[in-house]
Amino acid sequence: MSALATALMVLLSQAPAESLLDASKHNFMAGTPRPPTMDACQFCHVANTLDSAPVLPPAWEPGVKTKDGHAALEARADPSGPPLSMRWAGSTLRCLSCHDATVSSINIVFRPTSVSLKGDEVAADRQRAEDKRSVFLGLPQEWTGRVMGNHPVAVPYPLQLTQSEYRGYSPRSAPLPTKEWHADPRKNGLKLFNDTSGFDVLTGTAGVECASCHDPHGTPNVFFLRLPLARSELCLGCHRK
Amino acid sequence: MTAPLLALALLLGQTPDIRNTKHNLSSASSNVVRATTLDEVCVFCHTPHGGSQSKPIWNRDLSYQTAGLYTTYSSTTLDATVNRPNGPSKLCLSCHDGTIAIGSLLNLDAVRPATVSMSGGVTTMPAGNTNLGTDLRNDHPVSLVPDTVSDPEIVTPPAGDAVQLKSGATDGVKDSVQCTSCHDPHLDTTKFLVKSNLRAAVCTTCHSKPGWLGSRHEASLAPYPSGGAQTVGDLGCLACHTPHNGSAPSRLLHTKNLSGSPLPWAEENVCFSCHRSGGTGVDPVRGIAAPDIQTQFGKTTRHPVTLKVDEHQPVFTAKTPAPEEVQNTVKHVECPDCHNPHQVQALPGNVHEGMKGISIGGSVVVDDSSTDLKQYEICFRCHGTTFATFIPPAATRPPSGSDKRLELNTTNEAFHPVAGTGKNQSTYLNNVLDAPDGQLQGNDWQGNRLNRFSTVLCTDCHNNEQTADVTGSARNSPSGPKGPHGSTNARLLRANYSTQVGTAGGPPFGGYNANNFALCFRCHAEQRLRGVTVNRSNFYQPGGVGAGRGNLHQVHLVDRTNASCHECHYNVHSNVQAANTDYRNVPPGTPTHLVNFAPNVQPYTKDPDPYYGDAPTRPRWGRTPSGDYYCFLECHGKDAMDGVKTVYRPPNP
Repeated sequence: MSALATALMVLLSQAPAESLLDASKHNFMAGTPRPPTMDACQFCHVANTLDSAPVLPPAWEPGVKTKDGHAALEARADPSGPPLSMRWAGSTLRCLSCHDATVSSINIVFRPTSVSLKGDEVAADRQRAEDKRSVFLGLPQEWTGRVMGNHPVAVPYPLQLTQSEYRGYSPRSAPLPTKEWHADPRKNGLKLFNDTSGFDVLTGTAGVECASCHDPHGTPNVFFLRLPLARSELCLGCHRK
Repeated sequence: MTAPLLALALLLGQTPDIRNTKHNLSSASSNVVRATTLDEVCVFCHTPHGGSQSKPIWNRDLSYQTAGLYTTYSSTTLDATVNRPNGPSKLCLSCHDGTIAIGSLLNLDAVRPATVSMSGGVTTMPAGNTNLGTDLRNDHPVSLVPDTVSDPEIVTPPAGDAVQLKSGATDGVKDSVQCTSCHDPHLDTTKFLVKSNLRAAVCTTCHSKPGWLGSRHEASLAPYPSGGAQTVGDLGCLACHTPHNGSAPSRLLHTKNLSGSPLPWAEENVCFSCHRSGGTGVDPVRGIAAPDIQTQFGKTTRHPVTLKVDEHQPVFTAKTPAPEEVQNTVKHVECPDCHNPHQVQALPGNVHEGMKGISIGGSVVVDDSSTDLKQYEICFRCHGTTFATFIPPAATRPPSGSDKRLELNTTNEAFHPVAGTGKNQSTYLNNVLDAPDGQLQGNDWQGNRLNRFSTVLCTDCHNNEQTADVTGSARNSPSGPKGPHGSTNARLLRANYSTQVGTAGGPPFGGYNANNFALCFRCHAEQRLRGVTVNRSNFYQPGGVGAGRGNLHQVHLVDRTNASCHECHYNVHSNVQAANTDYRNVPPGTPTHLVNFAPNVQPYTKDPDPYYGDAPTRPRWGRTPSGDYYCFLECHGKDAMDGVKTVYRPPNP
């Protein structure tokens, strides 16, 4: 489905009909449709007007070590390989604030007391983390803290087939095998990010984050994916193989 | 997609699409191996989350690939250490070793693990070339760091080449040969190759074989349509080698058959895949197909290439130290004991190009761009010092079972002139232009008239019997294939040569028959040996032509005794190992004319030697005190001692 079609669908599905977010697993509110007074956004977004409580540093912040001495959530290409110099930031940082399984998804900074939540608190989430079908990327009970086996994020993308440096990281010194990439995957409905401020995605500084493939606000596809899995349309939106 | 089409596609900026390849296992493909219903492509190898590793993120379990699972390639000519599969090769093997079901994934739509139902009941990789198994000994080694220091025939791929080393041995360093050095699993090319292997382009990126370019095999235009190649030269390495599922335990050799099932495994059958009747088409430039050598090896006498399997080790490799001694000590003979298939040239070129041999002095000699081996130096590998290992034991050993390196040494008093000009410099042994009474006929292998300075090849006597259609060197024959592969004659001889000898009761033959000595007569003109007056040899007794004196060859062969060459020239290679001849008054350096007696020739015992008064225990050939040649012996029970008549005086020295 093209980006345009998706946008159209989002537009057409505005309240009072159930939104994609309401129908998604990212709606943590009890009861659907969402009561108009209840704010499903609060689990991730905090209104600027509210005071925010001090935030504990996430476990995967630089300097935080796991019990076996590795940096939490450090990324390696293979088990014996060196840690990759990835820097979590931006939208990926927000995703990992739940999906690293070190923090309960309901351990949020601000929660109106009137909000009723699905499930229990921390214990339930821990249980999910230990489930192999878990959506969590880290496995806190093992405290390996590694994101091995996941698609890299916070990495450059060769937008317009131009080598990018992204968040201080340039993965290759040699020219990219540009024939293996789409010049602009945004045309296929995927999203790229800019590692500097601003929303303009520029060649030379474009990168891939979780939200390149996922739209956490809901999509017609499984797993919040921006493109269908059938015929590997999602993967082939960036990769020319 | 053919190579030209692929090149065109790349030129136009199109990217080959994995969905057009056999690696599209989705239900939407028409491949034999495909899912029943799952319409995804990448998922059979990759997953965005929960993979067994990253870079690439891998959707298949790798934990089963424990130490000892794989039997890795080994070879006596391999310098590098082959590690257990690592790097990208592990990933390929997670389907291609046939262990794990192809549909067995770590993560399918967040179901972990998951099994994809495959069409046609396929589970693991179906049997065939793509299922390599866990025994990787018959596959090109992977996960090895090339050793370009120890092996100068190995080079690392140049920068920018499609063939590249990949990660493996050391973290973050692309130091290893892996499956992905040659194959890109996403590429819509023949066998997923990163570039066309026509004319061995992929192989020769790393394998730099000296002398390959321009060698007979590389240059061959003989038609051999196979896998996109049209000629033997186009096939390149793949004419004899295969990177996977080789027939041999090492060196990745395989047999082929243009018109049917491949020949069964044996070293020689690699060569016979082409070198047999109808093995290839006719080379349009040379006008011949690959010479039919297999038929030669089916003849009465032959080099026994079928005797042993898997005992041969290469000697022509540049690897140091050589894995097989140049001087053979373990009995076997295979085609590459005489020919280096990477460098061989066709006659009249050097069929031993790139080989190693043993010099007449016993040292190892190497054929390289500046030095051509002499043919006999190849023969000495087995028929020299180590001959006893190769020739049957003494009881059944033919007269030729002896050390040819010793025999053909030019310091001997008599030898056939193989390693150098012969000792007999009689003008009677000269060409017809040089002396009217010359005994030699035909040309040497370089086309010069045979004369007393000529040298000959082992193959001028030991050759395909079809080459007996000319006099002089067998090389001058229009027939072939040439070479000591096989012959319908005894002892792999080019023409018949009777080794029958007389007994106490009589001579070997009832009458003269030129065919008994057909081999000799290829060079030694029969008319010179039988000529009574002018055309005589220098085995000559003056004092009367009557009663058969004069040309003593005529006397022995025809007039008196119907003897055979073999009785007096028992070993025609040399006198140096003569066990049944008493050379009397023959100072060192004096030519002894290849006179050495067969065992049936006995010493004369009834009277003492008339010149020296002694009683020799072996038949005597020597010189009287005054320097005349004479014999003192007994032949077929008869007294050959006939007073002064046994003395003969050659008209030439």
